[in-house]
Amino acid sequence: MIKVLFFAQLREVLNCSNLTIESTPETLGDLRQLLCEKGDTWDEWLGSDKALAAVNQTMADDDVKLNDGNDVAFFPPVTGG
Amino acid sequence: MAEDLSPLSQNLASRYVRQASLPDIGDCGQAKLIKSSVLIVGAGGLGVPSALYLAGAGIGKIGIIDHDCIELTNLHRQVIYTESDIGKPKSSALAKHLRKLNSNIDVVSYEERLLSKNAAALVEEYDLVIDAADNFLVTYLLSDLCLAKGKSLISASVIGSKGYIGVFCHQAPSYRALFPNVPEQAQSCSEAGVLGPIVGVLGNMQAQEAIKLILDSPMALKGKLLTIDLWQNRQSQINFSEAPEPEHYQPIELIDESAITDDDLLIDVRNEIESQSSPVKGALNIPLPQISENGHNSLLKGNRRRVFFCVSGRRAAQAALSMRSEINDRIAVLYRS
Repeated sequence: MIKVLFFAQLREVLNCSNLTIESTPETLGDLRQLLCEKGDTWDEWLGSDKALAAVNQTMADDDVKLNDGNDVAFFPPVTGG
Repeated sequence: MAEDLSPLSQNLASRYVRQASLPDIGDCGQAKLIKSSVLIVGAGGLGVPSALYLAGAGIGKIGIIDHDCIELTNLHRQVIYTESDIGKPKSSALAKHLRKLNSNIDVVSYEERLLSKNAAALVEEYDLVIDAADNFLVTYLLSDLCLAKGKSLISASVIGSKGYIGVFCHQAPSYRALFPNVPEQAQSCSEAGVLGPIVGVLGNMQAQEAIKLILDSPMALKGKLLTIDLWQNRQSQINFSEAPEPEHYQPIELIDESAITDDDLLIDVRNEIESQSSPVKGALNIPLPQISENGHNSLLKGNRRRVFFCVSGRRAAQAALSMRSEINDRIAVLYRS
């Protein structure tokens, strides 16, 4: 099981702050793919060059293996102030 | 104690006694703060609190660069400015206030945009840089320069009630290690709105990080991104200290109108309505989707420099990057309101 958290504007555009994936994907890239298939907006915002991902609070690339119980967070680029 | 105090006059020692009495600061730390310099890019919601607290703390030299004038829509979050300041340049209004707050420090105001032509010399002149701007192109420009010059970049950004702060570049990866190129999808606070207190919190945190970095504290947020949601009272950290720098990236030259010549091909990539409401003199209007979808054969003819424009610079950067892959040079983004 993987817990997925969305940060910053991802919460609004995806209308989702967190979700749970029951069957653990093999890699972070597989998880991205799974999430991108949820719809056009998900695909637009969660591609590997569009949002950074962290596994258990450490930035990770798509090759990183996921383990049961991992927390995965997605963070988009934002600017403002 | 007496030896440590030697660089400080009794007057300064008593001025800063409440912070110098902290074990993490001390008289030695206070002397370091007095000898240090910080460049603050942007005198808005983040830059104002940052500058105020750094001036209060006695940072010896504070530079503030901002080209904007104070507007009514700024006052809910840029609370140092008053209604009678509307229309005045932000950088000099803020600098004036800082000089009144602390006459012992040197405050320099630059009423200009941060562009490719002036950024390197400014970054060189200061010990560290605070990115309090609201523009991706500025963040990338600062990140590239700070990485090259080995200086810390304290970047923050806020939209709505959510924001982040992170410390990049010196002994930490650059912003490009997180996001290699200017994003296609993004929101900015001018488009999405922003609440005042969260901007104040993050601006203050930038000042606190600057102090920690000057004092070489291991507790500084080097290589870490702290995200905060003040509406839902949530915080989280992402460690990016091992993130590799991208092997290939494409810096974009940021220029202002004074650098445009008759030989340049100026292309406004906003949509037709935006373009007509505030036209750019001499510009061809080709909305970004047309550049992306239809190719740009007509733009490829000749070897004139292509200068792209949109207000935030994000769409202009997208256009510039898609062109660069085909022509390799003579591409710039115009940065103006």
